[in-house]
Amino acid sequence: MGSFLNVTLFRYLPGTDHSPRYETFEVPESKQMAILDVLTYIQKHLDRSLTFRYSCRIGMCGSCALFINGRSRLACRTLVDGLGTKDIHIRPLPNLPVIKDLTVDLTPFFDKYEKIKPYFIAKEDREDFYRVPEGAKERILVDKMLECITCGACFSSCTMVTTNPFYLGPAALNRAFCLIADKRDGAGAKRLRLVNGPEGVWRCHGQFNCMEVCPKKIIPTWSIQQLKKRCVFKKWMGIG
Amino acid sequence: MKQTMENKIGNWNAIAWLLQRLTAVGLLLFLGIHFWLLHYRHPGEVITYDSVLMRLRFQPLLLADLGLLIFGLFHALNGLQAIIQDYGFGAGGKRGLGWILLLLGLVMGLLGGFALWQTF
Repeated sequence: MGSFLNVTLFRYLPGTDHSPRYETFEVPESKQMAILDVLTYIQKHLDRSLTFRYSCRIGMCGSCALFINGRSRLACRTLVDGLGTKDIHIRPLPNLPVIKDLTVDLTPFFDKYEKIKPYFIAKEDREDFYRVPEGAKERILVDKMLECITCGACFSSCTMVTTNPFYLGPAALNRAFCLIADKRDGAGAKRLRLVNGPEGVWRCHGQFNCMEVCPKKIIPTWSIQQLKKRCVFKKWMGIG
Repeated sequence: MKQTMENKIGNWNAIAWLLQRLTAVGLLLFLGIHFWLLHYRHPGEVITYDSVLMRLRFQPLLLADLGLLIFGLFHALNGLQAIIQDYGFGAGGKRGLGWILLLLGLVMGLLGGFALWQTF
């Protein structure tokens, strides 16, 4: 007889349930099982009312970020074997309002993301394509930081986001740095002013929670430190 | 481009961030001098009022203590302001607290500076 996992899930429907509760399910373990497999098994065989998000199932979309055994992770990329225990606790991402069960409202996250104008704005004086060779220093500077899939894991792990609801958060600031560091972008000075506010880069105290949980191994703290340097020395760097 | 209040606060945050690091380095120096003089130069020495007066009459050491006072006050109160801002108090409240801390720093700095000056 195969082994079983004890899976404890956060259950809550605001407006209907008086308060959140935890329910435990027994799930048969299989080889190379991911947390997403556990959740789809529960939904298919044990409780069809369980609500959670997923999409690509290969760690590219960021939809399935959850708080699994004490930290934010992607459900599709977290293997049961990797947790080292048969007791699995799954909660929705912290710092975000719950819609139902494991599904959160990402509006606060994306509202802050939008504040820094997260899209490329071309320089007006350029008439031709700006070529950036693959090995160029300026490309290498932001290469890793471009991998962000906006899963919200960093945002949910940031203690500054928890204590200060106005703080932009690591994902937004990381994106701002990617664009500010891009020589082709024409809104660097404007973005630097946006992140130079009291709810911007100055709320980061370098705790590195974001780096620890990022499924793409991005270091938002590093990006934020670069932004701080640019804010301080902008006169000498010709920005803003 | 006309600066908003957010930008002005942000620019002060930028200066404060830099000064927090500079004062941290300065504090290492001034605290080092302070501890060496009081505890390590003559271990076991009983510190008397007269010996402190003698020390503070020596201008470089007075300046070192003054530096410790100013750098310590700034570092502590700026750090406190950062913590208060971390808890997301409303903008008006934050500015009010900032002015209170500045006033507190000035008062304590003047009192401490006056006390040191009296010994000189």
